[in-house]
Amino acid sequence: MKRKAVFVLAAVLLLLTTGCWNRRELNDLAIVMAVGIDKVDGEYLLSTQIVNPGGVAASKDGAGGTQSAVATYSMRSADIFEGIRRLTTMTPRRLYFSHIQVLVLGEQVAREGTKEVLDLLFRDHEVRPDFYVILAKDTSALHILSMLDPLEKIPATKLYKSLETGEKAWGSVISIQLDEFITQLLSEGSEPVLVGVTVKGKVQTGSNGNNPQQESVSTLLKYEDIGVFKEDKLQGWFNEKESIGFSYITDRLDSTVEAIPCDKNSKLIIEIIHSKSTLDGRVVNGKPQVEVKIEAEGNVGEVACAIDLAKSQTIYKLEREVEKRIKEKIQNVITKAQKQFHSDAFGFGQVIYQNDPKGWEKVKHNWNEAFADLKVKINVDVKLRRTGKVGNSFIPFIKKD
Amino acid sequence: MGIEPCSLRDSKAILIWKKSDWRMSHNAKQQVSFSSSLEENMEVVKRELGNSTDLVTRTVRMEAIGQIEVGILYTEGLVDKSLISNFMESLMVHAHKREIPSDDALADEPLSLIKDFMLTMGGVELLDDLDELFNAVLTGDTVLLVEGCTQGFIVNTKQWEDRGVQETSVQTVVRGSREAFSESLRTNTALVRRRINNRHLWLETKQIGKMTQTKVSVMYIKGVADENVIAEVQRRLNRIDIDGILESGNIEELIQDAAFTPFPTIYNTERPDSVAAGLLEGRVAILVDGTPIVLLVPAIFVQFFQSPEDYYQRSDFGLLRMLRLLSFFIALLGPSIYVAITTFHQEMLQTNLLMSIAAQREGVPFPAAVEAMLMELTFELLREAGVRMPRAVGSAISIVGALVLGEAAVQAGLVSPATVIVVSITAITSFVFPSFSMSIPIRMLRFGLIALAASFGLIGVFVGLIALCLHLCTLRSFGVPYMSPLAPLNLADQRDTLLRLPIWMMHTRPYFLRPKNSIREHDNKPNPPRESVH
Repeated sequence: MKRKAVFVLAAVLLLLTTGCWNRRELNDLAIVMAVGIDKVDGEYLLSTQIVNPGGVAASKDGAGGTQSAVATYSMRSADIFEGIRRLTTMTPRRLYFSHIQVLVLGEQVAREGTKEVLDLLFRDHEVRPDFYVILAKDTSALHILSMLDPLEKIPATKLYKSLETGEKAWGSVISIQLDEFITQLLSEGSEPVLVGVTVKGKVQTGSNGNNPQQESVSTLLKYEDIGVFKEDKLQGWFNEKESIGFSYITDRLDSTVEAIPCDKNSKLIIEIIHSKSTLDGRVVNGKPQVEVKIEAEGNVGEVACAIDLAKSQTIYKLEREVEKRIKEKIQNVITKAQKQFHSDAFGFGQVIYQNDPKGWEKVKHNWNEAFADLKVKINVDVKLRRTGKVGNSFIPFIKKD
Repeated sequence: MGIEPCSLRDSKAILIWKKSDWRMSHNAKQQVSFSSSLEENMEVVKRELGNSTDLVTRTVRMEAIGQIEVGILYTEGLVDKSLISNFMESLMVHAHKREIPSDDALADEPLSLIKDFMLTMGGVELLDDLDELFNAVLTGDTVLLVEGCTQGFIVNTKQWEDRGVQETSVQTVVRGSREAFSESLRTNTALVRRRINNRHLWLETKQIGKMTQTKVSVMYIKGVADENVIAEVQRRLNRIDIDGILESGNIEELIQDAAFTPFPTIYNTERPDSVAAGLLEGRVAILVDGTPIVLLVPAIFVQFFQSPEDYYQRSDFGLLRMLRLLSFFIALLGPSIYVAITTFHQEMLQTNLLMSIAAQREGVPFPAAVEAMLMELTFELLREAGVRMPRAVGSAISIVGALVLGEAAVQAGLVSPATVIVVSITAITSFVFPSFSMSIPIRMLRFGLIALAASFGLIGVFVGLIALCLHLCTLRSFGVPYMSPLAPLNLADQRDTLLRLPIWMMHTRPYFLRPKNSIREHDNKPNPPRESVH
């Protein structure tokens, strides 16, 4: 009995005297929603966007309205880790990185190489590698983070959400998470890409607290162009059309829009609702070749021409037209990657490796050169499914004076 | 023991009265016989009962058969008065009218005479021991002593005020019997007998408690219940050596398998239909006089999550057992997981949820663990107050509880609304169990788990859970593993464990009870004709 009592006492003491190791109360944490990394004069400029929970939550007494939802702190230092620790001299609370939604890399950092920057974020146990990585195009990451948006109180959430919707509905935007980026960086025969975000309008007005209160927002953030890397260094940008072509090839495209001019003034718009790409690569006679096969489905979205949609011939003609346009986009983006960036952003090498591992062994040593002369066969098959609520357009029937 | 002859004229035999002997003789069962003098006997009884004022003594003279003097003793309030006046009448009045065989042999045996011709009652027993006399008088029987005889009669006249059979107040159901046990043992056994009309339903009664002499009945179906369990119940009841038993809870504590465990290893119920169902499964019921709560052994863990209604509603209703099991985990783990996640594992929360909880915690002065402890404690206080307070002040508690503590504490920023929500959900789930005795261990263990969560986070919670699981697996109830039929697993018994399959699929009695006769039914699957019956 006595021994039992001593044992219980020891257990209780063990429990109570350890204290609460690693305990962090929620109101002692500064929840970091976004991190921006720029390079200025050879030093890193680390910006962290910290959410102010009191300012975000919808409170019925309206107290939340007066507080700002976020605070962005930035610090210059030689190393990222050092910067993070140094930031605590400015922030009232301990920085908490588990809920990062986006990492914004300044264009300068991307051009000079991202590997040192990413290692820390990939290594630290507190950081989950499932946040999106984006590039600040023609501006700094700090500027991107300080833009306020009228719909989303937290800029990081705005970046995150418009990235996801843009990817779903338009196709020129791609969402890449940190682990995905690193996988791309490491795997043979593929190079990473990241989407760029830029500021439209004046940075000064965008970061002003009044910006969200205007009805017509003069300054905003916009995703545009895809940054192409060679290893960990940014080489250049695909423009919007090329980006859509890139999405077609890499099977990231959910939905987009293709326009077909039918005469000088009027156009016909096709909505692509589904696209599936199949890549096949082989080494034939020592020469690598890749076949891109796109199967897409679309609806007629907008018609301003005098054509008869009730005829199947018209539909077939339209399908050929759309195929031509898609093929053009794909051809353009491949050529740009081959000739201008010499970067296999599509992962064609990976495709060859997967389909023809023995052939890959032969070409992998000089893949960079081989990629530049790679023959790509493009095969596009489009099916138009629906023409919307109405058949032919009413526009050609409008009375003319 | 038969009636010994005694003569009216022969009153020489004198009782050798040793006071100190019989008083301490409960264990030794030493018989103390009567003197043949009625007056002396009556005096002894009165003296021994300290002239208690509720003891009624009467001496009547029966003229008819040679002046027999008969002493009548009973305790007022415990007897049926009409019965007493009835037989007094038959002794004093009808005796005169009756034609008594003037057989010499009979005239010399007034006891036989009285018994055979004058006692118009059903239950009459011969009495020749003073202890027996006290026992009879004090439990509501009437004792008849006859001048010149060293024996007497016990006449069954028990009747006292009781509540009657009332509606269930604790284990309520929507569909099913509404009868509940009452305080009277006889009523309770009758309630069970009315449900099982079978000669194999056996009942054994003993008196436990040196002072209280409380009647305790053991009920089982012979040929269904495991003989070993019956024997074990008897053995454990016989072991009890205590001054008093006031409630079946006293018995429960004295006969349970594990002396130290928060979990109940004996099932208790106020519902006769639950007891009947348990008996049919092969359990043994222990009924205690003076309480409407009946014990049922062996008990298993999942039994406390089963309601009699599970069997009365259609079988899909049995899915509610899942809900109860879920609420067991919420009630046990709700606050501790909340504390663990908000103080150690913030990364496990979805970002928006984290922000909304963080916003609520802004400005709260206590750590989450202290906050949760405080609210849980407050809730327990409210619950305890709700049970103990006089009915008349009931509304005051609910106003103070709901308004002042819930609303005002949040308004004042002392606790966060999220904590209040967690504590409320926990409170609601802890009322889901059909058996109150299971909610007690959960209430207690909750605090331990909060402490573990506050010091070690989820690791602490799970270590606590594992320890709990191990403990549960070591428990037994009258030889049956407490976690059966889950551990050890018995597939056949799963038909009535977490789910309840249709009654026509439950062919066998639970195997973990080791019933002597395990077949419950033969093929009963509804088999209506395919064509219309018209």
